[in-house]
This record gives sequence, C-alpha cells and structure tokens, in this order.
Amino acid sequence: MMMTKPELQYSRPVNWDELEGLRQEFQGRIMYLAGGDYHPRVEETAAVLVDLQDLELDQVEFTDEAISLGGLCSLQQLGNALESDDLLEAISIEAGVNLRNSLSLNNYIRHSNGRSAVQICLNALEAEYLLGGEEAFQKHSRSLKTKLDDDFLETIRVNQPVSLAFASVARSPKDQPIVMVAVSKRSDARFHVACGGAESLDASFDLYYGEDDGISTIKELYKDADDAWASAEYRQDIAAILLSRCLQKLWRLTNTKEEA
Amino acid sequence: MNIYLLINNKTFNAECQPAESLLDVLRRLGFLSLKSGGCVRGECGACTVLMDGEPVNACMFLAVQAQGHTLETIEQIGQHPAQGWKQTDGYDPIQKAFIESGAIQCGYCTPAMILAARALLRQNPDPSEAEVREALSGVLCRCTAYVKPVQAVLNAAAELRRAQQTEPQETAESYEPDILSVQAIPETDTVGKSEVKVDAEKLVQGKPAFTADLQLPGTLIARVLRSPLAHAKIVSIDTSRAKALPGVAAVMTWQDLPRVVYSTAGQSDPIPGPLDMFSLDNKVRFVGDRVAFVAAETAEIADKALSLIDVTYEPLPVIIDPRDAMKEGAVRIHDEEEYVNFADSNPAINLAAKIRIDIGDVEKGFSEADGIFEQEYVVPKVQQAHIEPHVTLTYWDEDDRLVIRTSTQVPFHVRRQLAPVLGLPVKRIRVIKPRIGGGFGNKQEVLIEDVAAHLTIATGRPVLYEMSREEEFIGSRSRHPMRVRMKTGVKFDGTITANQMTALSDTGAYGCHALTVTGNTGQKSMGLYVGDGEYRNHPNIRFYADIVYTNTPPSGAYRGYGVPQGYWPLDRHLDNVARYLGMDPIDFRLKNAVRPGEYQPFSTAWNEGREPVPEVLNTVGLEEAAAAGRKAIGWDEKYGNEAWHSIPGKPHLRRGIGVAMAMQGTAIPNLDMGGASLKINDDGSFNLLVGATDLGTGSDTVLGQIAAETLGVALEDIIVLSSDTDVTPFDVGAYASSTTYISGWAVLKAAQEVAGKIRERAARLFSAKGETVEPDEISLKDRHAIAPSGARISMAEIALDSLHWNSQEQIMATASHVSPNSPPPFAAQYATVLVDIETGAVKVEELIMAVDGGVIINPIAASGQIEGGVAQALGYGVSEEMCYDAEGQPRERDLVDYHIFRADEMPEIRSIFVQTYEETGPYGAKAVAEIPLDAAAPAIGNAVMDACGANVLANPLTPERVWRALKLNAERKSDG
Repeated sequence: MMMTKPELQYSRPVNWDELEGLRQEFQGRIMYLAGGDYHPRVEETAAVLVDLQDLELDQVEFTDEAISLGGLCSLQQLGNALESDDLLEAISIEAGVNLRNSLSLNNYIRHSNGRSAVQICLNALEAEYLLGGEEAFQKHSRSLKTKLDDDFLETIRVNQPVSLAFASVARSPKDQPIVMVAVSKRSDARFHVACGGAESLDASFDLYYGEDDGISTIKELYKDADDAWASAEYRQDIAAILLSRCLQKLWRLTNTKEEA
Repeated sequence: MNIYLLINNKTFNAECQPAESLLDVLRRLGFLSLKSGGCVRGECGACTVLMDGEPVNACMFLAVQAQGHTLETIEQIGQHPAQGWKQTDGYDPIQKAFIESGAIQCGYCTPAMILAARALLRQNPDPSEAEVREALSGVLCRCTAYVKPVQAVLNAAAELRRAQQTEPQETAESYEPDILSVQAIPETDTVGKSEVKVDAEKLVQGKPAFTADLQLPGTLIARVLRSPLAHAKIVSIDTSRAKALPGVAAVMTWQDLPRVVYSTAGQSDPIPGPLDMFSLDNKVRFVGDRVAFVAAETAEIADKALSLIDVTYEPLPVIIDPRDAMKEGAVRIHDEEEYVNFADSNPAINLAAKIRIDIGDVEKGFSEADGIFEQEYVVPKVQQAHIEPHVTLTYWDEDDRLVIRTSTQVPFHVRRQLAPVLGLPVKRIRVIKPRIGGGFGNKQEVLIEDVAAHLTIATGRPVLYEMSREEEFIGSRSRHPMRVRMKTGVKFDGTITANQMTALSDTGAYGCHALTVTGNTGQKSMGLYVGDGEYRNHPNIRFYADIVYTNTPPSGAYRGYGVPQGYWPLDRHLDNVARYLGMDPIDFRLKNAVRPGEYQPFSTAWNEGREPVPEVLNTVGLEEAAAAGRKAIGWDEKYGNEAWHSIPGKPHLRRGIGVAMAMQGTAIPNLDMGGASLKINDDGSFNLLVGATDLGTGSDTVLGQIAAETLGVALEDIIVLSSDTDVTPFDVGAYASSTTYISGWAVLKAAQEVAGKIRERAARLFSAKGETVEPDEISLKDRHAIAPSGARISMAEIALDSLHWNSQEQIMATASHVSPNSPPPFAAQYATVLVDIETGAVKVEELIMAVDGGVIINPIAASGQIEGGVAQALGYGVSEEMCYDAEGQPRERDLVDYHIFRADEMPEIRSIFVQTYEETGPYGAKAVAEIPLDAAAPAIGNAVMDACGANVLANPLTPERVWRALKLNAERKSDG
C-alpha cells in the first residue's frame, strides 16, 4: 500500500511543445524534475512529474559576450565552463565530487542562501537567470527563488570575461564559510562585490576604482549579521579584510594577464 | 509505474512509484551495497552509484530519472575468486588494495569510495594524491581519516598501470606504520602481523552485512514523533487521524505502554547511574525527545502519520546553561515518582551525579608551591557522527522469541536492559549484531531497540527503525560538554605540587553515563601527572565534579569516554604553565608524568563508582613516545625557531607547533568480562565464538589472530563469529578499550585449553607412530603439531582423529576473563598549524601521534584506529560543536552544519607505535582505540598559542575565538 496518489503521472517531454502541452493540461499541478536535488520529495498537490532532462537543459554555450548554462547543468559543469580558480574553490567548499555531479544548478539556486559559496560568486559575477517559458533574464533575488518552487531555471548567463576573486573564512578548509566575499571586475573602473556567510545575508554593491575602498560599505552591510555562527562584530572586521584581499587578487590577476 | 534501469550492463524492470528515490529502488532490487546515511543534503555519499560513469548520490534522484542512463554499483566490480568449482576473475585492483591496506574499518562507506576511485582512475590513470583526495571528497568516512583509502587508491592506480605495462615494476607504497620496540618483544607468527581483516572481503564487495540489509517480507517502517519543545508536559495526544490513515499499522503514545523506568546507558548490572527514562513519557525534556511511535507500510505513510498526530503541550521553563541547573528555584527536570537514584544523584536539584575525589593533601600541596595558576576552560558537546545511523530490525521468530537485529556495541546489555521494558524474560530475547557502520560510543546505548520492539509486539510484524541524520543530532547521544576550572601549584623548577580540576558537566535531559564519563574526565587526565621528587610517592590531586540535568539532548558515551574533556583544560593549562616558567613543554610534562612502578594515582581512590583497585603501572612508554614524536615532527628544528614560524611574503600567516600528552585506560578492572568459545573442525580449522562486538575496529581480526597464534594455524583457519546472544558467550561489549585486553585474554585462555587438548592427542598419535613425546614438548606451528624430533602431524589429521577415528571427542573450550588491572596506554601528540592572524582561521597541517599501546597485535588495523581517532579529535579541536539557542533549539541538524572533515581537507596524519610489553595483557597488548581522541585538540590549541599567542580557552578553535583571543592580546598590549 503506497501513499503516492494513484493519479500521479510521470512525463519526460522531448521538446518545448510537448512541455507546453503538459503545462496547459496540468496548470498549477506540475512538479518539475530539474536534475538532481538534495532530497527529492514530491509535493502532495502534484498531478504530474515533468522530467526536463530531454530538453537539452544541460548544455553550455559560449559566445564572446557570455557563457550560458542550462538549468540542468551540474555545479561541476559550471566550474568547468567558467574556468575560474576561485569559483572552483567555492564549488569545492560547497560540495564534494558526488554532490557537484548530482546537484543541478536549478536545484542549487533554489536551495541556496547567504551561506552558499557558489551563489555568492554568481552574485559577484552578476549572473542572470532565465526561468522556463519567460523571455527576460533577471538578477538573483528572493523572488527568483520563490518562483523556482513552481517553475524551473532554463538558463544562467554570465557575461565574459570572467574575472573573479573569492575569499572566505570557515572552521576548516571545506566547511561552510561564516564570512565570504566575492568580487568580480566588470569593467576597467567597476567592481561588483557580493557578501555572504550569514544565511539571511543577500547583499552586493558596486565599487569604483579610485573612488572608494568599499570598507565602510561592507562593514555597514554586516552590521546586523549576527547569528549562531558568528557575531556581526567579527563579520564586519573580517569582511573588510577579505574584500581587501579580493581586490588585491584581482589586481594581481589583471597585471598578470596584461603582462602575458 | 514500470521502469527499466540499466544496472551493471543488465536491464532491470522495476515496478515503482514515480516518487521513489533511486536509492530505495536500487536497494529493493537487491543492490544493498548502496547505503543510507540518513542525510537529506547529499552530504554523506554512502549511496554513491556511478551514473554514466560519474559518481552521484542515489538519494538525490528519483528512480524514474535514471531511466536511459547507465548505472554501476560495486556488485559488478569484483568478487571472491574461489567459489567452489567455479573460479571468478576475483577482485578488482582497487578492491584488492582496499583489502590489503586496511582501508576498510566499518566498511559502510567502502563501496562508495571504491566507486568514486574507479571513476577517477578511468579518467586519470596516474592521479596525484590531491586528485585522489578530491575524487573521494564526496564520500564521508568517520573511521579512517582517509589515510589508508587514499594510499589504497594510489597503489591500485600504480598496479593498474603496471598491468597495462605503462609503468615499470616498482614496489608499492608500504602500508605498515612505524613501530619502535622499547622492550624485548617475543617472536610471534601471526600476532604482530598486519593480517587482513576477517571481514574485509565481504565489506569490499558491498555484501549485505549490515542491520538494514536484511529484508524480511511484511516489514513495517517505524518513525518517532519528536518534541518541538525543550521542556513541556504533554497535556493530550490525539492519534485518531494518524491511525485512520491507510497503511498505518500502529501508533503508540505513553498511554499505550507500561511505565517502566530504565537507563539507556549500555553498562553492566547494576547500572552506575540513575534510572530516569521511559520508552515514552507524558513529559518531554529536550527538543527531539520522544512523543509517539508509528509503524506503517512505507516510510512515506509513516512520515505522513507523524504529521497527523495532534499534541497539546504545556510549556515549562527551560534550562540550557548548566550553570543554571542547580540554582535555587530552577525548574525540576525530573519530577517523576519512579526515578531511581544512584549514589549522590538528586533530581530535586537537577543533579544526576556528583564526584569528590581527593588524593593526598591538595591544600598542603598548594601551600608548598612557588606559584599557583588558575584558569577556566570550556569543552563543547560533540556528536559521534557514525555514517550508519542507529538502526534496528525486530521480529518474532518461529518460537515466539523476539529477535532484535541491531547496530549496537552492547548486544548483551541490550538484551538484559530491555527485557523489563518489553515485559519479556531475557530468555525470550535474542540480540544479533551484524556489521556496524561505526558507533564510537553512541551505540553503547540501548537507544532505539525498544521503539521497534514495542511496535513488533503491538503489530506482530517485523519492524525496521532507522534514525535519520537529523534524529542522530537531536535524538541520540553526544559527548558531555563541560566547564572545567584548573588550579595548579608548581615550584620554580617545574615540579607540580598540587593539581586540582573542578568540572561542571552537562548530562542533558537524562543521566545516561553521567557519573562514569565524568569520572573518567578526572581519572585518566589528572592521573597522568603526579609531580616530581617526593610528590611521586605522595601526589596531591583533587577532582570534583557536578553532573547536572539540562533541557538539551542527553550526553552519553563517545570514544574517549570523558577523557578528551579532561585533556583540553589540563594540557592547555600545563602548556601555559610551562610557557610561564620558560620550560620546554615536553620536558615539563615528562618531569611530572607517572613512571613505571608508580601507582596510577586515581586507582587508589576511584573505580567508576565501585571499589577502587590500586594499580601499579608496569609499562609507561610515554618518554619514548614523546621522543619518537619529537623527532618525527621536527620539534627541535621548529620550536622556538622564528624563521620557521613566519611565512615570507605573507605577514598575516604564522606557523605554530604544539604538543600534548595523554593516558587512557584499558578496560574497567574487576568488572569488564568477555567470553570465548573455540572448537576444531574436520579440516583443522576452528570456529571462534566471541561475545565481543566488532564495530569496525578490527576486533574480530585481532581476536582471531590471538587464537591463530596460540594454535599455530593461519588466521584464515579461524572462523570468527561474534555478538549473537543466543550463540556466543557473554561479553560486556565494545567500550572502555577493553576488547583486545579482556576478550583477547578470554580467547587466549580458550585457545590455550584447546591447544593443550591438541597436544595431548598429538602425543598419542606420535606414540602410535612409535615416537614417545610429552604433550608439553610439542609445539604448534604451521598448522601442525611438531615433536622435538621434527616429526609433524597435521592439524587436519588431529581433527579427524578426534572427531572420527579414536576416542572421539569435540576438541573445544570455553573461557572467560576479567582483570584486576587496567594498564593505561600512553601517547604523545604533536601538531603544526598555520594561523591567519587577521581572520583567526586555523589550518592544521600535521598531526603525529606516538602511542604506547603495548604490543600491537595488528599494526595496520591499530594504525587505522589511531588515524581515525585523531581525525575525530581534529574536529573536536577546530570545527565540531553542537549549540542550542535559549529555547533549546539545536543549531546542527545535519552533516553540513555539523562539519566533519572530508578527504580533500585533511592534514597529514601519522601514527607511530612505541611497543612496551604489558605482562597482564594477551601477548603483551594494551589498548589503542580511544587514546587518539585525547590529545589532538589541546596539541592544536597549544600550536595556535605557539603561532600567535592566542590563548583560546574553549574548543573548538573557531576563527572568531582565535580572533577574539588575538584582539584581547592587542588590547592588553595597548593598555601596557
């Protein structure tokens, strides 16, 4: 005797028309299977499980302007595509090999929070997200994550070139960071800084070369970041140090590239 | 729905529900090598399967998603080479390397590691160590510190390259640890050799050896409703909606069960602690306490049923900080009239146990000191984090006896302690312990067997109860957190004149192990240092402790059993004293440490609540261990060398080096008892039946080696069966580092008796062949009885003679052993660290432990114990901690928040054995299993102090704690 409702169906559409047909038929009663998930659980309201794996959402596309990854790409594919040592380090902190292979970006983004290292890097890179069936990319936000409960991630887009620095502090090298900062160089003058380490923290800001060192801004962002893992006082102090280290690293990276 | 899965190159047709996980379906199809760690964030990796050649977690996919993909499990990789008339290709080189290297301890994660390694070696036949560590990073192991698995993969890779002739023949990296003998050790054939573990082959194949691997038809799945509140009365429970749910077989609350008070601490009778627990009660005392049991046809139905139980609670005041427990007016946590006191327990003031030990005259000692040092230290609550959760399967057998197949360290205690709780006589209960996926003390607890058993009694059906990872954190046991105040008197020359430790220990909501764990805290740590000169004969030591109830999950047994809580404050404190005196920290410790021929001072005053048994120490290899570790870590080149401490170009980084020393115990004197039975078979092999409990430590192997050595046969001739209360002799179980020493002696006695009978029969056989030989002139070696002339009779011939030919008898013996001694192992632990002095982050670089464990029966297995134990102690040092908010809500509920080290972040870990010959031990052995837990954390703390002057008083050394200590230093400096 099983609990699952007998009418629960499973479908694996092979094209977008078929998917659209399912959407029309099961409005609001679809649960998407978008790759591996932490602990896949079927919602009681679901009438159909729609498995997206045959829609080529695990592909990576490179253009001169951007790298686009399908929502069913794994964390490992993300790391391979962006070719950033610091992103790879963040992925490594976030997940051992199995998890990197198993977890799709769709489900990673859905579950991520302020302690998710890869998400902080994506925030610094100003990644953009396209939900299934929508036409416009959007930035990361709480509403994006909410939407992912009923929708799926079609594409993540990261603009080229990828120039990223990531620094974090944790209890051990691969533990979840309690403070982390990621900075990407967006143009000659603009840097984008993302902050993390506290679950509720979802903050990023622009920094302009020569105008501000960002220290006061980042300290302000952490002023209420007090939780069971670390005090706000500690995080404020350390975030400023990590920001400074990230900027130095980017400066070194830029110089190295220019010399090359 | 019907799905097709391509598994190991064969197509399987499976009927499944769309919502079933791949893990569940694969296990249902018989691929039982995939294990569950009970996790929900994919963190443990025990369910690794190769999907399209890549390691993934089977729990992270629904089975339907795997259609169209190729799946590989370990079942296809290799198998035993000789299967009667059928020969197979044997084991895969990775499996072979795992077997030979000792990479398998409990074996729960072994199939996952081998699959991960296989995926790596397909893509990269010549990986670096870092690449191997990376490949194994998705599989958590709590036993091995990954040392031997990594070595195994590297050696397997080399073997594969050689097989493909891409690399010249070379010697594989040796797995043997360094062993220095400081005494003459008698020559032996099997003892002292790194024999392959007797269970290695089944575990490397992923055979269904664990509790949950037995799949009985009609088995119900159990779930426990747990309290969301830390302290409350249960006003009412309405189970009607849950009972009405189709597929629910039973729902039980406190109203459905007889009210039998007991203790879950798996200990000998009488339990040395209060009886303060019921299977279910009308009051909850911590977040995670039991409220109701459910049994249902499926896990999904059982989960749903839990959500349909309506409970009305009346919240009560909460005590989280143990300092509040005994304050006047504090709420009483145990007000049940059935409460049974033990010794000084007093539930009216939330006191579970009290210890007052005075050795010598402490006040006089302080008055003789040139200086007195006082400081308070804090040690945290930490979790055992075995990868196999607690799991029990219960069923009625054909004789209406209740069978409890359970993942326990104490099968005989489970039987005895549960009998009254279940209303069954002991003789109607059979407890079977299959292989265990790690226990580390948490399974020295009669923790969940009653849940399944009550439900089997209620339904008449088999019931499986497997705790989730969250339940392990909120509803099992943990190490007692303590606040410990040290006061030490010393003379200017470094002589300790008096030493005092005062502990406030938090037993949580129930008093299991309250007295005995905390007693050990003082006994095994403070007992190491007696002082020098006249103080050696008359040490002045005081250990006082109050063990109090709080509304947090119960503390309990965790490998080390109270001793690590003693060494953090003691050793950090002594290190600070040595620094103040300007003495070398090693010299200072050795100057004051006990020496051979002296009493273990606590043995004159304390024995876990029983009569003390004064014990003179025969073997103390501490000095030699300190010297061996000193050399291995390069102490003389590093300590005090500023050039080594600084990192050129990185002024924010500082290196540090630290030392700590430790003493453990070996069994509980005059209490721990083990039995063994041995009988010969027709071919000269032997069945060895032991009550001892192998929880992955290799004790079955070590006991087999002792028998094999005594009988002059190979280990493969000893068929070891352990831990079945119907079949094997009694044994207290696996705790207190007692198995090799106590059960080993039982085996030795039984083997000596059998050997005597073999010699007598061999003498008669020699006589029949015309050679007169006295039995005691006959040696047993190489599977033969050998006369002084060199004449030989095979063991098989002796067996056939005894069983079939002449004066037939079953050559057999049963023996048991209890010891008046508890000879301590000793260890010197060294650590080097890298500290980021801007952020406080600590990176441990090296951990080297030199151990005097007496004669090492199996060096590879023993070194695995040290490495794995040191890794757990590393977590105690830097990362592991369980925290609660003011309402008692836990911070940690999984292995993400409660981070245990992965393969790709481990420091270098090395073990060195300094062999002494302990005359009271079997073949000179003492113990090694628990001592690695004791000294790594303080050694790391001392190394951090050495690196940057941060005197951190609470472990773990989190970045913020180090940062605050540095900040305090800076403030003091600026204040002048």
